[in-house]
Amino acid sequence: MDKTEVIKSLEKAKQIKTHMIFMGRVLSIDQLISEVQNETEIGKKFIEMMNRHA
Amino acid sequence: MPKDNTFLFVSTNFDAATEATDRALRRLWNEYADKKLMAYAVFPCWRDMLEDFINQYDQKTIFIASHGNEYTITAQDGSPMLDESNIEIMSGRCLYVWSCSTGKVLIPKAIEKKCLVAIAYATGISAFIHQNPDGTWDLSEDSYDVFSRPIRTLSEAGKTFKDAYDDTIARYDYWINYYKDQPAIKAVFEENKAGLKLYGDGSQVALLTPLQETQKIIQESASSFIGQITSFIMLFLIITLIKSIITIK
Repeated sequence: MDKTEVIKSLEKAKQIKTHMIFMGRVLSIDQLISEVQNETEIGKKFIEMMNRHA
Repeated sequence: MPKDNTFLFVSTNFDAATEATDRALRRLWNEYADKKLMAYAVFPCWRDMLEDFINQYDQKTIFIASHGNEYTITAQDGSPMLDESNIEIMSGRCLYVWSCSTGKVLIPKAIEKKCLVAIAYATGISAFIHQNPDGTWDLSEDSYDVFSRPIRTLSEAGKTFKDAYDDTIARYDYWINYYKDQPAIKAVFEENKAGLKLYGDGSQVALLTPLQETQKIIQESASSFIGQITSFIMLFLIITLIKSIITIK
């Protein structure tokens, strides 16, 4: 699952969820999308997590 | 020996994540109070408070929600509440910990130090939360469901920690199936499920039966009542004796 697919999944999640706790931080789904988009450390971790369960 | 049928709820509240779990734990503590179970709480908790409460009331089963890592569970001031240096206080007790990654090192260390059983996460914990109109934070219904499941199961007479663990895994399976068309949400529940572990002797029960607990309390009260009556009679006899001596003189 690449970055684009992860963002697509998060966009879909945004329809029913607003925020999440991930790696000890509270992020809005929009913030998480941005982290994934910019491939920050937290964004990369989220992509890795999704790929573990894809 | 820790007292059977006694519970301690422990949480911190210093950011949105801990606020959501603190509020969730308070809800569960109220449910325990409604069921007349012997539940104590330290909301929010510092290291000495945890140690003092356990030393004073000797609870058998302890539920903790806070931030954490492989080596520590975080106290209200951000310092370690529980780490290798005080983990021995969990000897002879049963634990459920909602803190990231404690299952990697800290909880195995607790088991090594004779903690009877623990349910904890060996990976980071992710959860969905939402902000209420008054600005407070709560876990979303699905995350609350998996967070609360061990505590709910253990409030039923005769249920073991293995039952609590199995029930929680079953709830994860439910949400994983429920969100099968939501890959991002599903992955969060799958990751948590993979990280949830049972350590030690899963046959331990947190609660014998509510009836036994009631009987225990009644017995304690009865013996205390008999003790008071005996003391009163003794005092009466002594006063009568003194009065008799004075009269004879």
